[in-house]
Amino acid sequence: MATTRRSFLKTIAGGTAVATSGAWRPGPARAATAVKVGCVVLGDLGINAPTMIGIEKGFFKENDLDAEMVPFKGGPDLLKGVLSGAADIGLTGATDPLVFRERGTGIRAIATILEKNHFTLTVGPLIKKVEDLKGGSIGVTVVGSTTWVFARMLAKKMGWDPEKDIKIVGVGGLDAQAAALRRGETQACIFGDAGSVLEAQGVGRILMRLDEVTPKWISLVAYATDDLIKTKRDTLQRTLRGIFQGHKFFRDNPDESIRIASKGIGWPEPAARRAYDLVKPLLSVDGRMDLDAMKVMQDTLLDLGVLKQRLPLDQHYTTEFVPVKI
Amino acid sequence: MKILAWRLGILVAILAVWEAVAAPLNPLFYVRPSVLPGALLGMWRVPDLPPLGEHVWLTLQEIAGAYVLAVAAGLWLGFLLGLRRTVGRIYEPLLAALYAVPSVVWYPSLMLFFGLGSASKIAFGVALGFFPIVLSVLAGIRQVPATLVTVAQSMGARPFTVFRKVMLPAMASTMVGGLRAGLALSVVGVLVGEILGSRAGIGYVINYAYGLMMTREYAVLAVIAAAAVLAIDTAGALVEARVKRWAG
Amino acid sequence: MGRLGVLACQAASLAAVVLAWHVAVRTGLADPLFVPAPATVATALWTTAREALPRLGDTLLKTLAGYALAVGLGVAGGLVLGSRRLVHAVAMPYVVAAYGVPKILVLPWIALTLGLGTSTAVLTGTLFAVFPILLMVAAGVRDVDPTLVTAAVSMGATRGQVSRKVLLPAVLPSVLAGMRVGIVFAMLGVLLAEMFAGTRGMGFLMQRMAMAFKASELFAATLIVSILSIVVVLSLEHLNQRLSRWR
Repeated sequence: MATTRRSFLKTIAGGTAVATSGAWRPGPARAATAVKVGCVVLGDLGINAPTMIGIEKGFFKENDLDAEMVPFKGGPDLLKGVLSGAADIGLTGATDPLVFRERGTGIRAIATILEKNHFTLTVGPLIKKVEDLKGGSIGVTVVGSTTWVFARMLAKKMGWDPEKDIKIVGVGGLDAQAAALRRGETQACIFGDAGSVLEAQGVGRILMRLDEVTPKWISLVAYATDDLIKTKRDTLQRTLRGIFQGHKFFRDNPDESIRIASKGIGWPEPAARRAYDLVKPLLSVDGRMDLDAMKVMQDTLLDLGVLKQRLPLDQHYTTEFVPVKI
Repeated sequence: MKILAWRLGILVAILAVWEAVAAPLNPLFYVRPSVLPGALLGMWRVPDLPPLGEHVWLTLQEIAGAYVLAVAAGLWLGFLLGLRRTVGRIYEPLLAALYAVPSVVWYPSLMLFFGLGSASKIAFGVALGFFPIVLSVLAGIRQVPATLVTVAQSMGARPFTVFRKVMLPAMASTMVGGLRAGLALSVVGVLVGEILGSRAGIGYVINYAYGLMMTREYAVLAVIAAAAVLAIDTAGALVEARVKRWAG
Repeated sequence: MGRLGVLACQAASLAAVVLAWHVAVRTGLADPLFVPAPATVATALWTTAREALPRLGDTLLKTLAGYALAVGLGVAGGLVLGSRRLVHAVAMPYVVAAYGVPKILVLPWIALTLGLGTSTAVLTGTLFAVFPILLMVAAGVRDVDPTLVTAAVSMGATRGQVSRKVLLPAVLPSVLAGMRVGIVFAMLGVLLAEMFAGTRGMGFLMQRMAMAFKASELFAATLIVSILSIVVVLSLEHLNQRLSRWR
């Protein structure tokens, strides 16, 4: 049986925990559990704002959690972070649990963060319509991420060869995308709700929303490893509660949410407001996952060749944490 | 003969241990050497990765470009600092100080200036490769017995002849060592540049495989790249041995 | 030209470079987007230093850890490799080959198994530094005058005594030389790991600045790291000279 490095460490950790369990300790006070919330990028309102709100407004503390937000620079990096324990839960594009589970990593989606599809295609000044992109470069975060998948979908829709007719370049975070666009290194970029920020900076304009290319989709999900789902179920449940309390606050308090988010991410408030308007209607209320949409995603990925085999869909998610009750 | 047998034995032992250690572990992280040939065949038949041929060709071109520039810059700077004593005294310490800086710190600035294309990889290859060449030219010049130069000059030889017939043979073995080291470093520079951020080249393909968790394919690529680098260096070593024999 | 004269020329040359740089940016010869003016870099030094200092500390710690490991492994390995003729003849091609293979090829695998944190950076630092140390120590051992060893053995010294009393002192210069080279390689490995797969150290910061086009901050950061490493190497040189005088 293939063993993983993590399961070995888990055994050690578990043994130590049992040996030192403080059952004898008097008093009702329960020390706050540390949890690391991994965010796939720093530069997306839907991904970063609820967690930032949860930390600033004390929602995590209410749930006896000491939460820390850990940003990464793309899906593959977040995955490695989650697998190595640098993050306990990952907030990311919804293709990640599909793609990386099929590769053999034991992760699965535990809740929807953002429904439908909030990703945008932002183009530089020279591009008037999508056809103009042929022969140029599209910036995505990293090869293998959700933005990369979208770029491949776009290429396929336009009938382009993803290696010859268009170059899909892993550029990194939002700063890097803006720089690449300004410099002419890339002619377009695919990102989440941050397209509005790029517009506000005058770097480009949103040419289209990617929900035009995807009939049914899920934007963002939260995922964790099978191991952690089994051993830290309570912590994950409470973390989700903190995040979704953040969702509720986000919906009910636009001004303050925009303030917290733009300070935390580093965006000017008007741009954050535009992203807010894009995100608010899509923010999941209780985390339930649209399984039809997930099946469509799986079909699309198979069609693109990103997935090689069709695993039973229920290996990619679990419904034990939803609906999230706040 | 006995040594050869021992060497072969070590190679077999390393592979066996690698295989044994990796076998029970998660194949997503730990690749057994026995799966590599099969993976290579698979990569050939079903191209999951970007087309290898053109990316490898691009990398080779970048290496060639970087090396040519490194040799030109290295020789020019080396002779400038070596032949003009005062210039050398002023600037050699500055060069030595630069040598103390881990070369990779230059790369982000090069990426910012040249972008993600081939130019930044070539520039980095030059930055790494020209150092050993400059140093070997300086060392070589110092090795030339001053008496030989004086004798040649006193016999009325023109400067260029002195250079060609007296200095060059005396410097040759040291210089060729530097040229060989410069080649190795140019290769490393281009590879590092590609892996840290690029749109094309074998480093890009390695990153591609790494991002998509295609560990087996990544292992195949790494082995191929390592073998290619060793081949280039062996070629360099042969040339070096040849030159050393000629120079006596 | 005396030492002071040389120093003056060096300072003058550096000043001339900065002046030319300033003029180039002023006249528009160099695009300020890619080449920030010296003045902006100077101001950026202050702000960057504040952000950079904790990261620099982080990088330095990892470098020292990787360096310590590399010195331990390298010296021990070098002694074994250099002193036993058979081991040397058999293993040398492999060591040289391992030295010749660009270590960056292994970095993705290290990042995959150890994650994006400190252990990856430390291990990469060790990997980069251990080979030069190993090779230099081995070469130093091989260069030891064999008559010294024979003399000691003929006086009844055991193998351990020969190692300690004869080999070690004779080998010390090579060990120190290897150690001096090693620190730059260790820092190189750590920075590389941070650029490729890191979330915290100086390398990560510089990579991020490059991608975000923060030109003056990046120049300032490059300057800071360069000066730091020059200082480290110079102090090691100084230490080495002190030690050899004492010996």
